[in-house]
Amino acid sequence: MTTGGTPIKPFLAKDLSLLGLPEIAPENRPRKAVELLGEMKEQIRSLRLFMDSCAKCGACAEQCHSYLGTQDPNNIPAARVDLVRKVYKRYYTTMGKIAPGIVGAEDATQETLEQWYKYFWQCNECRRCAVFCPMKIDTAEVTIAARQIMTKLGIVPKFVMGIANNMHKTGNNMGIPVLALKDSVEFLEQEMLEETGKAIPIPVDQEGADVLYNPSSSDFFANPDSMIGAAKMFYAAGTTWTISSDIVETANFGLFFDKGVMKEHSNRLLNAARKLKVKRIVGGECGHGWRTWKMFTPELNDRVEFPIQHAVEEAMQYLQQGRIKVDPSANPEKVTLHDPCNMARGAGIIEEPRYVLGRVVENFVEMYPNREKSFCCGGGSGILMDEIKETRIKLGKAKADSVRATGAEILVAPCAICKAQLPVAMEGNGVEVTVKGLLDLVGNAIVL
Amino acid sequence: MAILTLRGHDFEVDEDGFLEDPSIWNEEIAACFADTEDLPELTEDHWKVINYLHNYYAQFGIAPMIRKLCKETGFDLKYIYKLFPSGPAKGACKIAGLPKPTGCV
Amino acid sequence: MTNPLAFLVAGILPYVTALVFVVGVVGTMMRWNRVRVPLRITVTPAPSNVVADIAYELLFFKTLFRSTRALWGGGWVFHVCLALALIGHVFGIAVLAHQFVALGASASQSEQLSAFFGGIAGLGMLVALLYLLYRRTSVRAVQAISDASDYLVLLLVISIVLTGNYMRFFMQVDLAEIRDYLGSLFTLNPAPPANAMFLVHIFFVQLLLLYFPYSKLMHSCGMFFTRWLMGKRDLVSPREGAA
Repeated sequence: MTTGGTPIKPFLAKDLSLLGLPEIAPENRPRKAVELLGEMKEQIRSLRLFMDSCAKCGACAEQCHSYLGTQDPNNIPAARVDLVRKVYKRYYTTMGKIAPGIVGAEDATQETLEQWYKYFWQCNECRRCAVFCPMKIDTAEVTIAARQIMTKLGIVPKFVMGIANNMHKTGNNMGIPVLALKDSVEFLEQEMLEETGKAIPIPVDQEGADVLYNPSSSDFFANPDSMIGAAKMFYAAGTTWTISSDIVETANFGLFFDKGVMKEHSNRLLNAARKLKVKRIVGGECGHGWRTWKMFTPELNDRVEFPIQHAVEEAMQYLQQGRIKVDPSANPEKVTLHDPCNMARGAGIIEEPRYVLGRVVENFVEMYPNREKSFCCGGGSGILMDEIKETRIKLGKAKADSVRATGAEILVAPCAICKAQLPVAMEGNGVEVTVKGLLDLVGNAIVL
Repeated sequence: MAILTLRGHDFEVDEDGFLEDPSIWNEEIAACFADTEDLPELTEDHWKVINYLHNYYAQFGIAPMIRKLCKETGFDLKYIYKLFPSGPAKGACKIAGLPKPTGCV
Repeated sequence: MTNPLAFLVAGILPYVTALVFVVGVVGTMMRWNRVRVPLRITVTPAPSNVVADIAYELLFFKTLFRSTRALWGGGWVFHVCLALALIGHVFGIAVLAHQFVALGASASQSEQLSAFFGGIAGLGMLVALLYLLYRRTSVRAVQAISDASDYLVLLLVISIVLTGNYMRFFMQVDLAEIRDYLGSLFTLNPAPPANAMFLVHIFFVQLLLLYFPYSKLMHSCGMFFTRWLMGKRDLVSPREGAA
C-alpha cells in the first residue's frame, strides 16, 4: 500500500505456527512489547549498554547507507535505536518515569509497533555504524532485539516466515526437496563433464568424507557457478567431500528474527555432520550464515566437535599449499570485490578473498570504502522482499556509488543475499555490472 | 490471500499475485495470469518455457534450476527475460502456476 | 550566620549529591556487568590489545577523528579542556595552585601559570561547547536525534563553564577559603563561603552530578564496557543450561 511516496512495508506472515508461540491479541501487543523489552535488557548486555550509552553525537548518520539512501531521519542509526530507547526510558529509567517529555521517553502504543516494523526492516544489520560510533554502539543488536520482540508478538514478514518454513521442512531456504536436489546435482555434474571432460562429482550424503560442504541453496537455483566452482576446487585439491541432503543451507535466517529458529538451523548442521561422520565443515558463500557459524556455534550447541572453515579460507589454503593450480587469464575482465558485511566486518574474512582474487583474475581493483568499512549491498538481514523494491534500491545506493567509481565489469560478492540484492541495487541506481561469486571465478581459473 | 479477477474468472492468489493452489492450474489459467505480466499473447516460445516449468514442478515439487531451464528449452537467460520481462522466477513461474521461488533469490 | 539558601546548596546538597552520584554510577555499572553476553558479537578486525585500544580512544577520540572531523574538534577539545580544568581544580584546591613550585617556579609564578592554563581550559571548553550547541541546532541529522535533555544538558554545562570562567577572569577567588570549605564538608561541619558566584557554580555542578547517573552522561562509563564487549574476540558468557 503506497501513499504518495511512503515506502511499502513488507507483507506480514499469517501462519507462524512453526514458532509455537502463544498468541498475543493485538490490543495487548504494546504492553507485551514493554514486558519483553524488560526481560531482554536483563538478558543481553549489548542491548542494555546501547540503551544507556548513546551520547547523541550524530556521527553515525553519514556512515549509514540506509539513511544516506532513504534520507529518512528514522534511519539514522541513533534515531533507529531511539525507537526502542524511548520506550525503554519510559518504563525502565528514573528520568523516563518522572519527566518523560524532557528525555524523549514515550509510551508504547500500536503506533510504536508500526514504527518498529517499518524501520527495523529498513536496517540491514550491517553494523557499519558500530565501526564509526565513538561509543561502539552496534545498532544491529537493537534491530535483532526489536525484531525478536515483534516475532513474539506475531509480527513477522511473510518472506522471512516462508523461508523459515522451507528450512524446517526441507533443510534449505528455497524448499528444494531431496529428489529435486539430486536432479540438480546430476544436471551440474553433467554440465561439468561437458565443460571439462572430467567426471567431477557433487557427492550427496557420502559418509566418511573429510568435508561436509554447506552451500547456500540458491547455488541450486540462481548461482550454480558457485557450486561448480566449489566442486572443481575440491576435485582439484583431492579433498573428499559431500553435501548433506538434510541441510544444504548456510544462510541462517533465524538470525534475522528468532533465536529459536537460529538455534535449530545450527543444531541441524552439526547433526548432519555427525551423521555423515565427516572431519570438518566448510561453509559456502553466505555472509550472515558465516557470522552465525563462526561466532555463535558454541553457544547454540551442546558440543561442537568440528572445525568450521569458510570456502574462501579453503581456497586460500589450497593455493598456498599448491594443491590447486589457477590460470588468471580465464578471468580477464576488470573485477572488483564487495566485502559482505557479515563476512568481513562481522567475522574477520577480509584479506582471504583478496589473496584468492589476486591469483584468479588478471585485473582486480578495490572499491572504496572497503573491508570493514564497506557499505552494505542493501539486502542484508533478509531485506529481499519484492514489495519493497523501491526501498531496496535506495538502500543499495551507497554501494552502487562505490561500484560505479571503479568502472568494473564484474562485481564479486561472496554472499547469496548480496548476489540477489546487488543486481537490483546496481540496475536501480544505473550501474552496469555483472555480479558473480568468488568461487565462480575460482572455478573459471582452475586448471584441472 | 486475495481474490484476483482475470478475464472474468476469480483466482485465489497470495500477496505477490501467485496462484495459491498450484493443483488447479491449466493452460487457460496461464493465459489469464499472462495479463498480470503485460503479456496479452503467449507465443510458442512462451509455452515451451511455461510447460517445462509446470512439468518440472509437477515431478519435483520445486522450480527448476534456471540454468537447467535455459538448457532444456534452448533459450539463453537474456531471451527468457525478453519473453518474460519479470524473469524466470517472478514472471514465468507465476504464469506457469508455480509458487513464487523464495530464499536468497 | 549563613544564608539558608547558601547552606542548602553548599551545606546539605553536597552530601546528597555525593551519595546519589556514587551509588548511581557504581550501581549502574554493577547492573550492567551482571547482564550476560549470550553471543560473541566482536566487530572485526578486532584490536590486538583491547586495553590499549580503549586507552588510545580515550586520549585521542580516534574514531571521531577518522569519521566526523568537525565533531571531533568540538568533542575532543571540550573533553581535553574539561580534563585540564578538573586537574587544575584538584591542584588549585589541594596545593593552592603551587604545583609548579616543584618544577622551580615561585609560589606566585605557579599561581599565575595555573590561572593561565585554567583560563585556556575554560575558554576552550566554552568555545567547544558553543560549537556543539550550534551543531545540535543546525545540523539536520543531529537535530533529528536530539530531545530536550540533549539541549538542556549542554546549556547546564555551559552555565557551569560560564560561572567558572567568570570566577577565573573577573574575580579573585581565595583558594584557601575554598579548601577550608571542602575540608568542613569532610568533617561534617559545613561552612559555606560567602562567594555568590561560587555558590551558583557548585549548584550547577551538583545538578549535573545528580543528573549524571540517570542520563546519557553515563556514556563516559558505558564506553569502556561497549568497547570491551565489541573488541574482545572471545567475550561471551558461559552457556546456561539449554538456552
